[in-house]
Amino acid sequence: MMGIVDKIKEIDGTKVTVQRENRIFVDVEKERVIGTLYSMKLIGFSQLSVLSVIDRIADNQFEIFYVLYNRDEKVNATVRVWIDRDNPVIETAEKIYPSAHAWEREIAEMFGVKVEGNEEAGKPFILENWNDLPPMRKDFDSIKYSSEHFVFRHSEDKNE
Amino acid sequence: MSKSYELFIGPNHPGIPGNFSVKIELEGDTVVKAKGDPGYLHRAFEKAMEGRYYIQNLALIPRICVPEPDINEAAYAMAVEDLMGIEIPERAKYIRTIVLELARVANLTFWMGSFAATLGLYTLSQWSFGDRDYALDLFNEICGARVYHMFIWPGGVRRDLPPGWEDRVLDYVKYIKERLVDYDNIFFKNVMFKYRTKGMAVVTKEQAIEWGATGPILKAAGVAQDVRKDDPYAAYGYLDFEIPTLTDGDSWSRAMIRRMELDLSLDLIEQAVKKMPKKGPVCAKMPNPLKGIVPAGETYAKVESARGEHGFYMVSDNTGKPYRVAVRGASHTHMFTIAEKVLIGQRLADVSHTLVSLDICPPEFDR
Amino acid sequence: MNIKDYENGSFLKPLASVKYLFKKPHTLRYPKETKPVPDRYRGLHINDVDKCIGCGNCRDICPCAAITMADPSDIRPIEIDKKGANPVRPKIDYGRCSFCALCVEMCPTGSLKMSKDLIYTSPDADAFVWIPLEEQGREPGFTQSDEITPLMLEAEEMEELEPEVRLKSFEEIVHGFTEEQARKEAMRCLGCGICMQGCPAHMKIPEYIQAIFDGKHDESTKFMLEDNVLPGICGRICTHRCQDDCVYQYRGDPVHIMWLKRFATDQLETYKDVEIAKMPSSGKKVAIIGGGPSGLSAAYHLTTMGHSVTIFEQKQRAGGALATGIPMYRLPIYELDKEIGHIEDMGVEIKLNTQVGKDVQFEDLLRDYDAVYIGVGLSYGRSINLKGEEHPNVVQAIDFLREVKVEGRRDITKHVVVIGGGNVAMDVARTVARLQEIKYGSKDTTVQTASLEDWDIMPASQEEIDGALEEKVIFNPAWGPNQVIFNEDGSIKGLEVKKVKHVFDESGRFNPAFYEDQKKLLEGDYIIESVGQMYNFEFIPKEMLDKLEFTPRRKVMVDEYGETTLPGVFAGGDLVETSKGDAISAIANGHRAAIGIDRYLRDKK
Ligand code: SF4
Ligand code: SF4
Ligand code: SF4
Repeated sequence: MMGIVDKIKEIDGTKVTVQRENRIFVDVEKERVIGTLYSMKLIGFSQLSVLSVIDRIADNQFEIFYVLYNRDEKVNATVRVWIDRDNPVIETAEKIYPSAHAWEREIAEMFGVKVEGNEEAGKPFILENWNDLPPMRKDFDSIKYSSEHFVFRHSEDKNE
Repeated sequence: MSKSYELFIGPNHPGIPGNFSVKIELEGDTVVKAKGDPGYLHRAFEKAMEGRYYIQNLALIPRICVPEPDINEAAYAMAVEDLMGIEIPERAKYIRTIVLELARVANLTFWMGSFAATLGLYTLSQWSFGDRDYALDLFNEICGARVYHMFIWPGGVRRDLPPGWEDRVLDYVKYIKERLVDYDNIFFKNVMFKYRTKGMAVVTKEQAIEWGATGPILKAAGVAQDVRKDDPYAAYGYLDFEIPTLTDGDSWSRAMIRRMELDLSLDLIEQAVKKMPKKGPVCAKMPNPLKGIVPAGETYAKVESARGEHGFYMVSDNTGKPYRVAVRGASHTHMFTIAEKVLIGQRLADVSHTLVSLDICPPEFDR
Repeated sequence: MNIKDYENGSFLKPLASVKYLFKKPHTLRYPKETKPVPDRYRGLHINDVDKCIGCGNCRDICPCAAITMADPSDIRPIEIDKKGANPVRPKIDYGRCSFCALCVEMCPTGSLKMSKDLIYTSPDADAFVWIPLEEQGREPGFTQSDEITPLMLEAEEMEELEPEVRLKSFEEIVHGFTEEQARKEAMRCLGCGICMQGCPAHMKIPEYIQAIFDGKHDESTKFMLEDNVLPGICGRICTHRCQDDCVYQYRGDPVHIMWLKRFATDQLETYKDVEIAKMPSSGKKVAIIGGGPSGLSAAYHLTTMGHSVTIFEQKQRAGGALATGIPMYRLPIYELDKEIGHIEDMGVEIKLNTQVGKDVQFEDLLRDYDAVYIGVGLSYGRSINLKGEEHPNVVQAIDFLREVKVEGRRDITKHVVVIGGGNVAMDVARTVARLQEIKYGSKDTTVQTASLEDWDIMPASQEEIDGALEEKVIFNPAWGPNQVIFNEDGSIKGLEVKKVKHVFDESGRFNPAFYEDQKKLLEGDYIIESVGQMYNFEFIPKEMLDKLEFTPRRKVMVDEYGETTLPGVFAGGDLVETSKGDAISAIANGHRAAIGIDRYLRDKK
């Protein structure tokens, strides 16, 4: 019988790293990500646990990761894809994993990733009237933002 | 021609623990559309964690989930330990298990209270909130805080158990078991409970899988998936237990699954106390937190919360502070994928208890 | 439980709740009844401000930035007598505090605790910020534990040669850290900088330890060289006062700052690649008399300030006591060559075998150079006027050590008595032990010391005493020398000693008294006196020497920049009051004098 790792390796264009027996990382090119997710679902990775982004600012890339779970093999696999940070566009995965819809709204808002095919991605989700850089980006300085938008109170010296 | 209108459930509503709003569109008193609207609670924890030393995040992580903070501490600690390649001492594993199960009991009693309240039975919430308090007292003893324990930390746990604590936990377990008889009488065996919940808000097995449900929603639909069993952490690998499942996937089944989980948790506590090594270290030697570098890497650590799979995706770049921490709360999917769908067709009076039966915990996704 | 029992709801079962009408309620009647507060409760802080040293570690770990360090003197005056302590205490903003107690866990003195009290109310938001004190009367709750703590309390073990092995040669005893050990030890440092105040040179300890931790040994060495031109040497023989001040002294072992320093410099074969800022040439010339640590330090720093410097050294080697006094097993020659070589590479000219007053005149230096620095040190043994000390087999420690180290002397007699209880006496005794082992295989040999001081006040460092004991040196503490006893043939029979009553009198002055009736003979045919050294100013012409002022303790009087009462003449090293008799304070005051000379030269124009 073919092991799950071999099955993933069969999927075109995947680079598989086995961290330990039930934690697998699958790196793919941007063009192949939806196809890979689709194939992953076919081989049993039916649950999307997390979908989010790592801002690889030093490489000027965004790393989008999809943590998937295969309940028969009891294996977590993370599909990772690096995309250009200046033009961050990915295709939606909501057709494959309905729960991706909300995660994609989140990354659109927090990182400014454009998700093609997800109608709500980009509409306000958690934030309200936000007009600065997407806040989870590494170059967004939250302390600077707070000091520009809020008044800090300085307490006087008092002791009980 | 019927006219539809909008209504806000929340942001302050007894049906939801934490500020959160569901915008529903009704025709008559039937929901035709439901949309979750998070943001009232957002505290930018994921961003804040990137700027703090690993140990400093101890102050933030329990606050991600108010009713059950320990799952965050455990998952966070497991992620750090995984990246550092640290094995925690045996006794620490058992202590973690006991603490996590006790937290689950506290959470489930809390949930029972909310659920009964949304069905109009306030007696049970008085009782169960009171009984939860006894669990909080036990937490208070081991770590000096009732809600935000900051007790499980990378390397193990923060202190050994105080003398006699195990016995007091067992007393508590015994007490809850006795109380459950009455809980059953006034609630779980109450005919009104049955009428209000049977056949309500069904999530079938196929739907549960397709939509990515975890925890009680999935178990109520007949899938025995549980991180404690499938990817054992803490001392779960040493304990003997079965994952409860039911088949109908309705509100009633989900409530009953939680009722069964209560029994399971109480049993796990008893087992863990019995099997736990009586002596030994409870924390591995850890590097100086101001300098302690966590080797570069990525990992996903998950635990089973009362609501489902709760995970931390952690990325380290070989410094003393995490590069990225992504928190996965089970409620994220349960709200935005499942609740938004199953609420449709419900009557207004059932919206609150449906949300509670899915156990939507806003702090988990609005983190 | 059986799910079947639940499937059919019941109308009657809920009535079970009625029985609770007759039960005792669970609620407490507050404030008449209260819950007991557990011992580990994390409430408002308590700080024992007398124990606290103001190190600021609590502030550094606080995840909520709730702590600032504030001057407590208006509220509660504190005495800052502890070494290294900062006159500030944590002040906590309870609008920010998350009651995580990490500050308590990280407190190295254990002064900070949480209390069992969490109730405090005020309509004024500013009233929630205060300096916690013990006087606030809160009952202690959560405290730190020594078993589980984020602090790394234990130091790395240093590998050393076993006593049997090390006696056989003058090989360096201490191996030095391995890369891994050094990293671990460097990791322990909290970066608080409390130790810097203990270091006479105020070296940038947290910075260079951080650089070692980061594996940047050249950067680390650069930080060291800014204040200490002989870091590799100090990494071996320093009196490491910094370690005595390290915050870990209160809990656990101090960080091995000295050995870390040695590790970092050992990683560099030369300091050629260390980037050192050097100012453009000023055209000024400075003469330095004496090539000991203070002279080298002054010379180096003056060079980096753009002056051209010449050192006049009377011996055949530069380094002063480092070169001639400290035995090889503590400080190998190559280390000296490396660091003095670096100073020469920086452009300092060193004239060896040149005695001022003989080969070159002091007046000429004053004329030919823009400034003169005297760093001749205490290079002559002090005699105690012992009866019989004229005998050729009664020698001075400083000469003996030089002969062994520089001239390669290897002969020794079988039974040796060393007078003195300081570090130099230990050096002598341990050197003798080696020579005896090499010559006689330690068969039938003895080396013993006699010191006025008893164990508790012996001036030598504990490490040295332990080392000597391991090497079978016999101690006679609290026995003072009386006279040398001779055999009939004129050879030495031994040293007669008498029991010491006290070393210091009631007012704390050095004033030894003896029990004249308690005497004993320490048998030995060779006696080495090691009771201190003195300076010799014969090279300074009389009329000038008269103008040179001294302090009551017979040290050269200098201002804070090392200038003596003779204009343009500076002094440092062991000659001045700021010396503590060790290399590092000489290095420090040499550096200080360099700054003074630089100012003097720039003002002179
Ligand atoms: S860590 Fe402890 S000793 Fe240091 S300043 Fe804070 S309270 Fe004082
Ligand atoms: S308890 Fe935690 S948050 Fe409060 S002052 Fe101490 S470190 Fe800061
Ligand atoms: S060596 Fe000790 S005193 Fe110095 S900075 Fe490090 S921890 Fe603080």
